[in-house]
Amino acid sequence: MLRIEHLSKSYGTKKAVDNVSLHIQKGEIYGFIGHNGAGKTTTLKACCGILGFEEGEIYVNGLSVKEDPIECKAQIAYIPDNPDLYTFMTGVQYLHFVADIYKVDSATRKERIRKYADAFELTESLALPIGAYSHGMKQKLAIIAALVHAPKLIIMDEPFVGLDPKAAHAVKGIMRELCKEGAAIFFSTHVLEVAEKLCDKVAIIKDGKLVRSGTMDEVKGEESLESVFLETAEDENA
Amino acid sequence: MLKALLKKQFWETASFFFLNSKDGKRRSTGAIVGFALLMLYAFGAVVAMFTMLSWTLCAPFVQNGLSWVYFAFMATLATSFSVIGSVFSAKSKLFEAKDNELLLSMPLPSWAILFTRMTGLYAMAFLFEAIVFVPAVVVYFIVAGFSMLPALFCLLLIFLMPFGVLAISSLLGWLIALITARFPAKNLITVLLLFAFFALYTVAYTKINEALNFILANGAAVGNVMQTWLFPFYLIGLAATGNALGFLGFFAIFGGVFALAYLLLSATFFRVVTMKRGGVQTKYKERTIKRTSAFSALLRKELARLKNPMILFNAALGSILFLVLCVFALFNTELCNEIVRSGVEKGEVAVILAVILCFIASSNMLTASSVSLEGETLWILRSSPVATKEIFAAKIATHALVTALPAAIAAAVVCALLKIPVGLAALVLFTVLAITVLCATAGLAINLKMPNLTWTNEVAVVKQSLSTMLGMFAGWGASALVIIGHFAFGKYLPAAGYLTIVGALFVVLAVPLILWLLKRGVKIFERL
Repeated sequence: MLRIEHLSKSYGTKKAVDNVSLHIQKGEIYGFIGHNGAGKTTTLKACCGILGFEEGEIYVNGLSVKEDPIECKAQIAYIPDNPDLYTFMTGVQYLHFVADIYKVDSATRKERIRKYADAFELTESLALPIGAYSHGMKQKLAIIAALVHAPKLIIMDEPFVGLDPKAAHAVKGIMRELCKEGAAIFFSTHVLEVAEKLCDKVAIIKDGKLVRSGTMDEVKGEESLESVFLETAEDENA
Repeated sequence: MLKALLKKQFWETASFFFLNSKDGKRRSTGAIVGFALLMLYAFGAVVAMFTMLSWTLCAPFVQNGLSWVYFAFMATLATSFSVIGSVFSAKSKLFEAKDNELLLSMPLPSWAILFTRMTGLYAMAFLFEAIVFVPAVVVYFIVAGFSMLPALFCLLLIFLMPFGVLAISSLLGWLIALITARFPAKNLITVLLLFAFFALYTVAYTKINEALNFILANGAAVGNVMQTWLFPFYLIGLAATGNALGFLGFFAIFGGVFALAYLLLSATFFRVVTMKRGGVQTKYKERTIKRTSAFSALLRKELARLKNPMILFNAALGSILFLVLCVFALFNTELCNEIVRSGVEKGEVAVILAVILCFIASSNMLTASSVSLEGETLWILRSSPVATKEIFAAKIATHALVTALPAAIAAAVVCALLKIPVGLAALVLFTVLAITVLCATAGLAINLKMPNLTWTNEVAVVKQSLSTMLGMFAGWGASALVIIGHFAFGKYLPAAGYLTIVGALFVVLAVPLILWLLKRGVKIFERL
């Protein structure tokens, strides 16, 4: 579903992502972990066509993000770490805006909005202007908007930040459900326990380079993901 | 602490001038000089206008021994001009800045945050006030001769009068913030209040000539009225002519009013800033919404920005002026009939009307701030499966729609009242629509070259950005060329032919801009 091949991206002289290659298949939940500034967000943004890159290629369902960005974006949903949304719209207006952009028909969008807004207990607040939402509510709305068009690939940057435990639990449930239906999820997180329990595969990035990747068992073996992550950090510092 | 806050405020205000908002780096010296020259031109034009007004008024008053009335009148004008200039920003600058919560979370007293914000407003009030009052003072000393004490008091007045403006605009901003925080339809209330204010301003503006003639003919009577009804300005009049008691009285009143306003605002600042907005909780009712195209969704999104009164009254000012023109024309049918009876050729009237409408149309600057307004929400468009050219089309269409509809109404009403033949009226409208397309495309191109995506307050991109200023001046420049061209070629070209050529020229000029947007503009947007 998502194939990253030798991706490199620089900001001036600093190489933010250096020759990263990953392959995420349908039905997989792929965790992306690394310290702050390691290159996670840059990689995620490059995957959804928000950020250009100098070297490498990214394919979404066989389509090149560089060559066919619109078609790629139509299959992706991106949820940023800090969801700044249109504060001049109400929650429901925003959802319909996104549904129109992704060409979701009336009946389907109505059903999906109901399903996910109920799951996140946001239905009552959908008529309020987004400007009146808390950070957590905006995060929930961004997730609902991402799901309203049933994307084949969901790219999430720190999706659990700002969510209450119930909403976080709902997100995990939805992630599993979507993967069962054949979607793929690629997300970054600092919550290693969640990544360990939720992900089929994981990649660790440090200073723009992939230091480990593979199935959860391949990466962590008998240890915990946290110890592996800390070991990789120490290895680099040594 | 205060020094750090003032420094932050200074950088916030000055950043649009010195820093490139895209990469946070310093602008090139050439860009800074260019901007400074543009500002000088803009302010020079307004200063020239008020200098001419001062020349008209000063000598008759000085000769009649009514110098204080001259100063009192100019001070009233300066204060009104300054209040109008700063009142629209007061609410957003004082109570709605994006970093309010950040600052309130710091160990800073409310008065210090308010004080810092007010320094920004003071600078604005000072600028507007000085534009009127400094030429008045200079003209007075040329006409009446220089003397030390009046000069000293005038200098002090120039710096102290803005405190009165600051008090009035801050209190109005505070009142609007308070009302809008308590009522659910806050945008509607703000729009109504601003419309009321705008209507008063328009009435005052349209009556200015009548008022000037009256003032010139009845200087002493005006003086009496001022002494009774505008006592603080009477004191300014006295102070400016060297009366120390007058100055002390002015100082006591303006200082007192400012101190009271500051204390009131300071005492309630925290409450107003943290007040939950939109009191009534609207419950969501599920409805089936018909699916629309992506373009239509983008268009609705752009139009929804106009729910913000600050954007409506600044970026879409031209549309409001079109409606004002309609109302003015309908209430002054006799004036229109006089023009018809005067025998001025219809073609001439049509060209002049087209120029007026072009000036108004080019006062709309929706596209010139539309990219910047995406700000931190740009990721939504960038991650959506829509072509950049479709995003551009929605922005241009919004500008065109918001301008064209009131323009068409205004053109139809005024042309009908001036009895301009239908064919000519259609050409007037064609010219206005053509300049609208040109302004929309030029505004978008300018904003793509000069975007500001890191603003803390929308005011920064709608009112104070180089992009909107350039967009407006480009539009006004194009409108001015219409009248200059008419003076130059009017003898050789009938009005119908001239308007056709001008309209076609605007369309032709828009073509390379559209092509640039489709090629280079798309790339720039995708790199933002």
